[in-house]
Amino acid sequence: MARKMLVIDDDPTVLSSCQRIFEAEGYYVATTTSPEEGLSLVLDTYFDVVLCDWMMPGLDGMDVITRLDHTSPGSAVVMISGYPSIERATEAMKRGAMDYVAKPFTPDEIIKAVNEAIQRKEDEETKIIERFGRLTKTGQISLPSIDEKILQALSAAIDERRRTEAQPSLESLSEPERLQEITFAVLDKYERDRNNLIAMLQAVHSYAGYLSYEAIGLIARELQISEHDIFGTASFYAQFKFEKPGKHLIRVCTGTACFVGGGGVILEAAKSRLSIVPGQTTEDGVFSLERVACLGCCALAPVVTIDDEVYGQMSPAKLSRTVDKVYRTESVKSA
Amino acid sequence: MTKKRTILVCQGTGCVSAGAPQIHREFEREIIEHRLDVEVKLTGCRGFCQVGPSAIVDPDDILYCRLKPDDVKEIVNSHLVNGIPVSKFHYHDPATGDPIPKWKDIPFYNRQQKMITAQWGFINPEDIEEYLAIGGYRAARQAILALTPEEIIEEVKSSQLRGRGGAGFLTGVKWDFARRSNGGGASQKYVICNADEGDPGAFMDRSLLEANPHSMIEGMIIGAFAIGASKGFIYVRAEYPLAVHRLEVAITQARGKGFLGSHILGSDFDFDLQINQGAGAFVSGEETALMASIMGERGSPRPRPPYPASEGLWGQPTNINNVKTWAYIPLIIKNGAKWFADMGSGPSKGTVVFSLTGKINNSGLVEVPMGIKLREIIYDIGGGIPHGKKFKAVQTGGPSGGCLPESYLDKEVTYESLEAAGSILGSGGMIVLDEDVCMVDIAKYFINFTQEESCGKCSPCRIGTEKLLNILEKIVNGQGEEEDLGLLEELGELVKNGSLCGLGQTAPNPVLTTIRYFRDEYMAHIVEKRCPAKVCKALIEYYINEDTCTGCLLCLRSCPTNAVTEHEREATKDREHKHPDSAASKGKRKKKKVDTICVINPDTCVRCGICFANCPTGAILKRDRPLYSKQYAVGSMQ
Repeated sequence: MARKMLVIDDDPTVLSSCQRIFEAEGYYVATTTSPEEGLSLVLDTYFDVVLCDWMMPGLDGMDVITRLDHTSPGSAVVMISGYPSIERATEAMKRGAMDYVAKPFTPDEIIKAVNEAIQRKEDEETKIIERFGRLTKTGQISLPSIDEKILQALSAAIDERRRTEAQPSLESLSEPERLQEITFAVLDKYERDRNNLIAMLQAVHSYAGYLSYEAIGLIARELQISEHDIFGTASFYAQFKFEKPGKHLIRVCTGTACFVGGGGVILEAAKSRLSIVPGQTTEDGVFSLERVACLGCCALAPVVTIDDEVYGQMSPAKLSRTVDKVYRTESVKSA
Repeated sequence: MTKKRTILVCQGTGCVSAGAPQIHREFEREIIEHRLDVEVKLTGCRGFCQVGPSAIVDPDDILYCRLKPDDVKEIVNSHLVNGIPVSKFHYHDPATGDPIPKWKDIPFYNRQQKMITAQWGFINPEDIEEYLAIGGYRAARQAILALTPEEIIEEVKSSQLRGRGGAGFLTGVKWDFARRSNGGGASQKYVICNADEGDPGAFMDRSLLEANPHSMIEGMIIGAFAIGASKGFIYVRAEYPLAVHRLEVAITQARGKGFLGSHILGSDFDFDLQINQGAGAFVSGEETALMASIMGERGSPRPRPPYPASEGLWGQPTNINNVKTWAYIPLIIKNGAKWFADMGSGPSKGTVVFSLTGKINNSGLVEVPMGIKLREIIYDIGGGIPHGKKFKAVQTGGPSGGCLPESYLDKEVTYESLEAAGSILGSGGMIVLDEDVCMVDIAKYFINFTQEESCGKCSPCRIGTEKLLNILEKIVNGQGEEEDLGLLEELGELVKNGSLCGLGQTAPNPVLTTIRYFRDEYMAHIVEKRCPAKVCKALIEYYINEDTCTGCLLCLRSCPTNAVTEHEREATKDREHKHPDSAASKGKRKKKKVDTICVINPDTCVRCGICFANCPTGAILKRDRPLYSKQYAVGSMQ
């Protein structure tokens, strides 16, 4: 799940540059020029990080921090200001900010500061929870004043958040269960209508990597059409695979421009390097090889894509190096 | 007041693959660091994909080419801070080597005539405000609030705009059919944008959606209003994720501004758009197949009539046009039909967008007036053939088109002229082929493509394309007979006349045109068992030039069949005789690789070409297979 960030600053250029920097880092970024709006936003949405300016018309940045500490205590707040001073930095930290960055900043600076702030906030929270747990266990404090119902609601809310935030626990499921989960999630998103069949198949395919018989069966049941009908439609389109693909997909373009530019040799090289033919997956399950008709970036011919990354002006040697690189990162991951 | 400086970083698929997003970030970083009042803007494709990633500094009009992240610092320092453009990153004239700083002065641009591509690369495709600022949606406003549907159709008719998807049917006439058709009293009508750009080697439609999606959406709004449709579909290839993303953004923004939805611009006209992603079937670009696909079925075509204008999606009147056709509409409404009809030649009006690729110096997208000569496109705009090679043919229209030889370079490019030559204008793919390309191999390539993509519904296409492929395979394997050419021609005509849809009706074009213009190459394969371009595997062999081989062993390591072996040079052997080496000095000698050369064993070589592509010194060469194997091939035939 993407981390959420809120940026409050009266200067729109800061907002747009923060947005670009952090969206590239995989964040969901919300921005506002109004501190009041920012404070109301945190009531609806939980933000992991809040970047807040100090000098703003309307509400002082310091007050925003204080209010944030009450309304959204889980957010890591980072203060940004064009008028840096030690006093203000200390004041901001006292009021609950995690860090203080002076404007103008480089993307690297702000990314580093935000990452550290999140880490610090998480550490702080763990510590508090541990201490709290110790205290209740040893009987040093008791919780008589809290209503049992509120406690239940709280723990339910925590469980809920854990459930949604836990990185797709899909990984831990068995293969049929995983596909079932994905298919149900997709079915929930679409109206159960034959017209949406291809869109549904595409959605299942993009999450699961292929269409299993279980998935087709489930969709058939829900749409009340036959499995044969679905299989007939799906097998018509080159996009759909019916077997589990490798971890990485290598697609060699053999469009006309790539073909006359030597795409055929690249395909030969890929076949020879991986010892498979297009449509197959290597024995270790790391690579699948595919031949595609055209990727539409003909000026870069010959072109190969590995997952979503495009490699232009390919040569057999370059392909071999790239494959080696992926193998290296794979072995690092498994180690 | 001077205009604020803006850096336009191209982020079409081509430049993105070449690293444009890093360039964008570098510019932003440097500008923040220098505290400059300069905006860095994302734009779509500017067409000149060959020099990507590229950036233009506006309003100076300076183009920087082939940027790497490290180059940005220098540009910001020199150009933006001190006002001195960095000439080493300019485009350099390949003939004189002189830098050309302004993009407008580069031959690739100044010979084009830009209509629908005019704004590509200068506006941010993800920001509707920029499209509005250049007069966007004004044509839609005018059409909906000031014109009647009949007036709009009349205007489109008199502009003589023809469909840019390939068939070239008059758009206004098609709209008129759809408007008049009531589909058995039904009121619901649909419009579709065909963005299922399946031709290999063509990327105009994708670039349009990435560079200026609003122009196409505006065209659809006007068309829907004229026809009386309330729902539109955009059928776009799933292989184009960036185009899909930009379309989604554009549709959301257009809805936000009230150009889509109910009561558009306060009128009674309701219209909304939906994106459907194609799932990788070439035939689904055919209009009836595309509609089947939108309805969640197999994307097979059906016989026409009934035409979509009378019975289309869910049996209702439907109008379907190509992306580019839709994008011309706002311009025609804004500038008048005459403005459009004044350009072009004969019944082919306006401009045409080509994606120029293959063996050409300046790959990219070009927009030229109809009637331009092929030579101007290939030599003046495209910059000619790289590495001083000789031009052989130009392929237009993708798998449905044909290959035209040098004698056609001075013919005008129109729907009619290309059709008379046996090719088609198609959707605008243009692939240049040089002397290293074998025409029989190219014909085989296209037939292989159409044979794989044939949906199999009608026999002439399903069986005919396979038979064509079999005969071509026989020829490239050195087993062709003279009667084969006549057979190919006869079968080709049969497939053309007997097939159900455009795929089969045009599939034999590449074969028929190559036989028509390059018969001698076929004959060389059939009679002499020789491939003049040295491409066909069965007729060539690889060998290593001893003089240029450095013994680097790259070929040996990459050979999939171990056909390459390492040998000592004769001279080295002599020396060895005189000075019998110890083990240590032998090791030292091995490191001096010049003493080793490689040899390819023609019997185990599968002629995959990997060593040929890898060799750093070009020491691996191709030659005709020696006579005995040819004789063998002839003998085996009899």
